[in-house]
Amino acid sequence: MNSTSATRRWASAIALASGAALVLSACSAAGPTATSAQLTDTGAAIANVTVALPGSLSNLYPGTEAGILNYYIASISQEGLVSVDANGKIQPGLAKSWKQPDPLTYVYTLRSDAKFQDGNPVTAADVVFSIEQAEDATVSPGVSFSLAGVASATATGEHEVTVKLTAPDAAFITTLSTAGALFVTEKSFWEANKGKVGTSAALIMGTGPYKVTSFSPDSSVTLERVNTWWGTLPKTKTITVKFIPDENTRFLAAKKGEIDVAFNVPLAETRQWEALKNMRVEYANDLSYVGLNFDTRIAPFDDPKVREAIAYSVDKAATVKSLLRGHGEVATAMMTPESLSKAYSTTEAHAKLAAIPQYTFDLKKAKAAIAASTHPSGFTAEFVYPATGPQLGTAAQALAANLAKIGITLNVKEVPIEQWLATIGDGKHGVGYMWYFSTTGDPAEVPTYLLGAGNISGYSNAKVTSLLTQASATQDPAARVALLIKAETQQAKDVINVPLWWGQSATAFSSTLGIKKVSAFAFLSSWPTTLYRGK
Amino acid sequence: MTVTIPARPPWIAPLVRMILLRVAGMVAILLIISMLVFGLLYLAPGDLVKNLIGNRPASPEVIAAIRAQYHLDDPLSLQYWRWLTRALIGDFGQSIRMQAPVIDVIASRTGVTLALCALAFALAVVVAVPLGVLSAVRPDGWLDRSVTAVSLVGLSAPSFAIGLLLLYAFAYYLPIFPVYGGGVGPIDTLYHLVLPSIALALGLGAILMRLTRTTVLRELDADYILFARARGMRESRVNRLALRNAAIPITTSAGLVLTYLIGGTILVETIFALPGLGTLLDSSVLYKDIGVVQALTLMVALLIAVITLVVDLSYLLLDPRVRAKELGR
Amino acid sequence: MTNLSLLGGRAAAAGRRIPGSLVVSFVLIALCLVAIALTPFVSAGATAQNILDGLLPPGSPGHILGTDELGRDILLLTIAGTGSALVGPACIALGSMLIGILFGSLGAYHRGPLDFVIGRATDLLLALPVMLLAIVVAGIFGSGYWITVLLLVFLFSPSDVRIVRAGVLEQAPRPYVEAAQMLSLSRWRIMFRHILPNVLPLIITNLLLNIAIALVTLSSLSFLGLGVAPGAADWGRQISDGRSIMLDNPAAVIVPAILIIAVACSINLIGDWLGKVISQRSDR
Repeated sequence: MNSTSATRRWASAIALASGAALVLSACSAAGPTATSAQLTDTGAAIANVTVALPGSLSNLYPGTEAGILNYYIASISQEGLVSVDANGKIQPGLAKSWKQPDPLTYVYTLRSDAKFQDGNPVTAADVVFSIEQAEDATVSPGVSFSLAGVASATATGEHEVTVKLTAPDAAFITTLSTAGALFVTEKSFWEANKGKVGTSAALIMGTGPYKVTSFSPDSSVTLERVNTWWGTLPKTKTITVKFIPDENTRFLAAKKGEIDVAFNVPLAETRQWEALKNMRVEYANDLSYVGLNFDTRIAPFDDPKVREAIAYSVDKAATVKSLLRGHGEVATAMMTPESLSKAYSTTEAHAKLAAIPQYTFDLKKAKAAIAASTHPSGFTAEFVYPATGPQLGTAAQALAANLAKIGITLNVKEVPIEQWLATIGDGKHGVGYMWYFSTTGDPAEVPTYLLGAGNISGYSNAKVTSLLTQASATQDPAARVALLIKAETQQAKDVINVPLWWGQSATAFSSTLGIKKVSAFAFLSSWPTTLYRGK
Repeated sequence: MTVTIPARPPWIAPLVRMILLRVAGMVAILLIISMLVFGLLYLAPGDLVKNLIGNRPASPEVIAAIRAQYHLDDPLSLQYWRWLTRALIGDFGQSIRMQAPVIDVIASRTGVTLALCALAFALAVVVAVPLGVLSAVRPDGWLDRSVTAVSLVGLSAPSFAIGLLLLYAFAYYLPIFPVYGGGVGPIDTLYHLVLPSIALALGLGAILMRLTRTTVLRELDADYILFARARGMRESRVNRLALRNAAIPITTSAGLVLTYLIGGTILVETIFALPGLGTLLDSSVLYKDIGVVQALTLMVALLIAVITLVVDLSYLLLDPRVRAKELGR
Repeated sequence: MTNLSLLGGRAAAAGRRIPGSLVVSFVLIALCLVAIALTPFVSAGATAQNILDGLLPPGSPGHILGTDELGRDILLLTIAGTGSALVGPACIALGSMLIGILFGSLGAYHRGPLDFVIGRATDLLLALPVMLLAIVVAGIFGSGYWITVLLLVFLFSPSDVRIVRAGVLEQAPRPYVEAAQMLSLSRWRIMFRHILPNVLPLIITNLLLNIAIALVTLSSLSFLGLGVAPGAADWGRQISDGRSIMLDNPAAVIVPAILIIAVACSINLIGDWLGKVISQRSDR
């Protein structure tokens, strides 16, 4: 997923900066970093909230472009059948209730008071049409994969939609939310603007509390509160989203007081933002996973001993502490602890995931492993990382320095995110990063992608495949997690993926703007309704 | 019927022939560039399908459907031919990244970039050329010294550093200009473009100023000036004579500088978050959005070709010696 | 420096005394050359990591300019980066100027179809988007320092061709050329013995100007990830890597940034002075 646009590459270059000025700003005393908890809700109306994004959107419809920023913006004006709240719990959306008569069938009852932003009521036909568009890989390449298991979606009543699956899928419930793949739109609007939906010419039609009033790629999106929404009207009247690809420019705009919310502040620059008196920075685990991924079809990575040697050479703890400045956590599995929230508390989740076999940094063991491998004298390999993840770059250099000690030469190379995407599973790179942002927070999302059928590692282990299939069919959260942990244990023994860290994202807020809760899920459904004017 | 044909200067016919030849060359260049860019983008690393899907699982059927949708499995020559035959009738296709017609995408960005370039170029020429002439006329005077020093730094500091310096200065100490984004309406747009165009103009102005100074200095040192002075020609006339001869290299470099501008906009547009053509080209190349890249590069190439033609024509108008040589045979 | 004694005339009054800024420039470039000579001795220390101690501010014991996130010494890294800051740009400027002299003088002196073809070829090179070329070249041949240098030689050459052509074109109608032609001297002889020396000031000024521009461009490309590999000793790379640690170790960005600007300024100053000296000598 493109977490930021291509222009970030230039941005990082440009931010090189007039050093002296930056130092001046940095030397001012660090302001207090208040959290929302310390703000009291004044109940006052908010005329406008300016949101600054670190990159541009190309299209407003996440089916066309499914970057994490697209999700943040789409969830302001769009809704799904269900929604995900800040705690990761499923809540009603356009469907006021739903039931599951059998493992393959979901029946949703729509709200009768839901309206599109043009005033037309939401019909079952609109919902079915929206699902069909999301399923179509040519119309919605960014999301269609998650609807691959849908056999049919039919309007079974004036306010009723029935979705049938081809196989049981315990993760399906989230799929029909704006955190998953469904952004309900009006059939007549879509057909009138065929092929232009989500562009600046046609904009987009949704059911959310705000409607998009203008969109200019690389510049801005403006949204205006509507009175057609079924819920309680939010306090904020208009939302202006500005795209500011250069981090220094964004920081200066914040310093001038022109920004109320800044998403995805780079971790390396958070100290600078924390020093601003008019802003505060909040951190939340962002459901992202970073790990090493091996392609078992490519020599010498077809040798498990080689993979083991590399796994022992990563100093994860030092990486998180020194290179991420503690804004992250050493990953013990591909699943994030948050994704286990339906079954376990955070502490329990950590304990469960830590029980999976680990490769703790140990150069002696690494040396032993490489000596026992088919390449005892080492080898040379290329290792690419996306320019949008500078922290991945420093971590890669640290890894390369360690590998040099056991005779492996790792040529670290920085490429634009587009080129990095193309190297995933390209049959040329035997070792690479996996950098994945989950939006649904479902525990099976990452394991299925990285270990399931047709995975990028060319890894086929009948046991793992069967465990994943079982997990998909199991409804009970704890039982599912148990199956997934078994699958992770198996892959850890085979060293296909080496989890490195679970990421955090930093969001900056104006010090007078409160938000009820910042969490991994907070910005994936109608989040402006949780903003308030604080004191 | 009788038409009185006015007497034409003898160099008109060769001039027309030369222009026609150049235009034919221009068309050939555009064709070659369109082929080169198409081929280069085809070879460039990256995968359109991956860009559309993102870092997500994709079944072979989904990949096949997308490849078929954008004809990615056709041979390169067929893909190019399809593009060419459509482009020739003015159909530049859809932007895959934006899911909008290429023409619309480009049209919505052209205004900002054009205004930015025009403003920066005007600023550079209006300030740099007179300063260059003045410093050359009185070398080592206080004006020459200070202008040379400023131009030295302008030349040696990367343009993004200047842009950021301006940003910091105007965000911290003199918050009178907006630091990012485009404006609404012509006046507001101009207001928003002040800082970006200064950032863009500084480096250009420095180059132009130095070239002007060097050229005028050299002309003033030439023998004919010595003769002119010896014959008691007034200093102002001497200067005018030198300037006239210095005009050719100055025009050439001004033209060249104008073409540099087009490349320089990318950085400035990114720093100041301006929705222009530079950022569009950058992201389209990375995305392999071939329709936009083709239309944009051809537009830029055409522009550059026209600029160089105009520069070369101005040689003819400014220098009778060149005119005689160029069109005399 | 013996040229100085040859100076005379109005413009030479300034050249009689070497200005302080020029002295500083020469000293800086000399220091850079010393740094390049030292590179083999510091490169091992420059790339040695110490991730646990991590980031140290300037003035830390053993690290005058502090260290970066990976614990590498900024001073050693900066010294080791001098080579890539100067050698590449010099090659770019020389290479592109050689192309410029060859094709520029050929085109300007011979005119006709050859000139037409050369002119259109430079148009073609000028019209190609630099970004696209840089990305494609990095993709196909792999990104690397010398590949980028080679690319820049080609990208710099069209403007050199045009500048030399303009210079020659302007000399061609002058009486001394006609005189030489009447003496039936060969075209090459006229070009290299008579015309080019008169274009030399233009060439020298541009050559030095190009070194400075190449230095800035090359370091820009470096921190765009299109030049040297991450972690290599290179000023541009240092700036891009260091900007995120601005707060903890400002020296990591400021030192290489100031060096780039100062070295570029020095080269320009020396270029100016050299151009002046040569033009005065050739006037004699």
